[in-house]
Amino acid sequence: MPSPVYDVVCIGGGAAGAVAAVTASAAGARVALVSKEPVGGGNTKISRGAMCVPGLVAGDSAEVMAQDIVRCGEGMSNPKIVAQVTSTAAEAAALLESMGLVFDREGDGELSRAVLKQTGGHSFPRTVEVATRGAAWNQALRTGIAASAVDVFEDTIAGKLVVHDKRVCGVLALDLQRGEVLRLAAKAVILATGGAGFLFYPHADNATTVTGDGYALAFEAGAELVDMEFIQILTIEGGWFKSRVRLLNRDGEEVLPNLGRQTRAQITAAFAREMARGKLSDDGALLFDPADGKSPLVPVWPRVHTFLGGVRVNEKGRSTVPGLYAAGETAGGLQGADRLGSSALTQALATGITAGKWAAEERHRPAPSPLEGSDGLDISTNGTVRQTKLIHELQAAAWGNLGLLRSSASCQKALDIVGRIQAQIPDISATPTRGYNAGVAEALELKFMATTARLVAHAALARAETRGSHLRTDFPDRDEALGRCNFVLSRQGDDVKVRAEPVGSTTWD
Amino acid sequence: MGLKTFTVHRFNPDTGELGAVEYRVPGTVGSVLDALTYLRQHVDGDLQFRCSCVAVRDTRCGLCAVIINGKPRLACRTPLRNGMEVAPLRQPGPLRDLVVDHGYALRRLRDLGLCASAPPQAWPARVVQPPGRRQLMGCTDCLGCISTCPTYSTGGSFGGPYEFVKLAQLWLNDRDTGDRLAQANSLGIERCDGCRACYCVSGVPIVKQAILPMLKAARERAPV
Repeated sequence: MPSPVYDVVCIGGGAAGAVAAVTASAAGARVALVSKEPVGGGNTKISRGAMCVPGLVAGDSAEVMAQDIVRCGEGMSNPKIVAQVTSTAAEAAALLESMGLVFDREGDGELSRAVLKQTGGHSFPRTVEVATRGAAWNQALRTGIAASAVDVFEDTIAGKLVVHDKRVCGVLALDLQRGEVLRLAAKAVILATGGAGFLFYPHADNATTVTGDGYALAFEAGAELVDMEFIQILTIEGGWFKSRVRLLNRDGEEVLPNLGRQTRAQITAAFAREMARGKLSDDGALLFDPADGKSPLVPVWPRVHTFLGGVRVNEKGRSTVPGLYAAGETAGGLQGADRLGSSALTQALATGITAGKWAAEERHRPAPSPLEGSDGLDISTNGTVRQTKLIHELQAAAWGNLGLLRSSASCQKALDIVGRIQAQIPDISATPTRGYNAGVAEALELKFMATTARLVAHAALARAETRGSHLRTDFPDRDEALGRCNFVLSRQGDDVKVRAEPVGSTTWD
Repeated sequence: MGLKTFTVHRFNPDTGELGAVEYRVPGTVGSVLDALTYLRQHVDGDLQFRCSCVAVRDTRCGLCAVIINGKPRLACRTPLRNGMEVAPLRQPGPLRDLVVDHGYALRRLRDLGLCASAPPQAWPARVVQPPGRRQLMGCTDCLGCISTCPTYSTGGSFGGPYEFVKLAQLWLNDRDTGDRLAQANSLGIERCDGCRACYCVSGVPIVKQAILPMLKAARERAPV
């Protein structure tokens, strides 16, 4: 049977992917959504479920929020993408509410100032919340997808993008229930697979399925990536609390003033400072004081939270490879060197809507050929290596060398270890079987995490300065010359090529 | 500390049967999910079970819902005790070991029309949401509740707790235009009267905020 031909295939069923699919379908495209977990899952489902929307209080606007994003991003953000996202944020919130999510309001139904939060770096209160957090997003997104005409493939992991004549024309995916390869021809593909926080497990707060799939798929397909050195590490964020919360070291000293107004990068840098001074607790933690008159101090540790870079796209979500788009945490360019609290879900929805809209335009193109039956996924079987062992080694190497602090030596060490792990991947034992087999998905995810680690190491090595979430022990200060460029990664054969590009220079259509 | 022994009833798709396997894990292993993870890493790398949010404290993805000693529970929240019996959820159909077909849920929403999207309103709109709906939006689609229902059968005409929660989310949404009480009747909500067996492993108030209010409203509307 010939493979189905879609106008748009969305890979990833979280906030960005689901909304991209719904948007493209509503625009008239024939859309498929491929998702490893049930739709609505991943990080979206276990998130705080808050998003920032400009213009809810007097004086605020999309322009002011854009300035806040650019300031927090320490000059690394693409201004065209920032403008696109901030001007789409309200539409995104309205879309989610049309799917049945109701952000918390006053008793009379007003979204007043009193129900908004203001986290560090925001100039105005603009964060809306929902009581049941990510679970509510999961409900709404599934309702929206169910009501749409999108063809949904759950328990399905994308393994490879198909490229002909330098254009992406399809996806090879693995149906985990049947153990069979699913071949989807497409006029456009949107990567919305989230970030890669699970690469740093257990020093991360991400779902187990957040393994950098989109970064690796894009890289293998010849697309460029940007800002892969910027990974947000979250220790604690003060702006969510009503009281004057504090962060203390082992001597009871406040490690930085006014915790509620600090950005996440500032807080994590403070953690690194206290670590260097030997002022962490015996558990290696700082102590969070809820300052509510009754709660004890809470130990807090830094954990990888969000990837701030990703596939290099323009403000339409288009990558450097025709036919390939990216949205959500998979797409780079918005956040730069650090991001504001509650901006990730705004990013997911706004870039999802935008990518969905522009990908749908490709439906007027001639249909690609159905994919050949001979196109396969190379997942090795009958090997001797357990992938869980390699995954643990990779995760430890990532946190130890690319986590809180980096150096030229640590980046190089990461590359050496990743190389040794990648060399063992062909020897993995992972046979697809009937019924459900997570082992095959794990083998693919190991590949994707290894590629992502390689990309992060190259980018972190290139940026010889400390900026935002990227902390270099051998270059502890900012370098203003580097403040004018992003580091762009591309594939040449098996090599990762790194070059500097002026900030925001995404000039393709 | 000594070892803990427990039994996993693993579904085999080739035979269509559950097979009981007894396992021993170190006594230091905490939750049932920790035990399953330990087994997968050290004893049987092909043991299949779902989980997603293991790295995050104080959150629930619902994917690890299984039957423990006869009742649906979240494996991550259930301390492992000697002699425990772990089995896949009774509904919908099992796929392999402890994994069931979660794809059933979205197909069911579509087949039964348990979805709708209203056109987006101007933002921000004034919206009053009943507190009950706010709680119902905490559902994680873990499908554990279906295994608590004595009446539900996969693919049948009776709605059951999961579907009545979805229906109530729509019914309690001011902007929804469907006749959800008629849908509740056609899904057999009357069969819930006096039952109250269902519950949610995550505390979503199925009976109090979905089933009883819809039953009451459907009756008030019915012709005498």
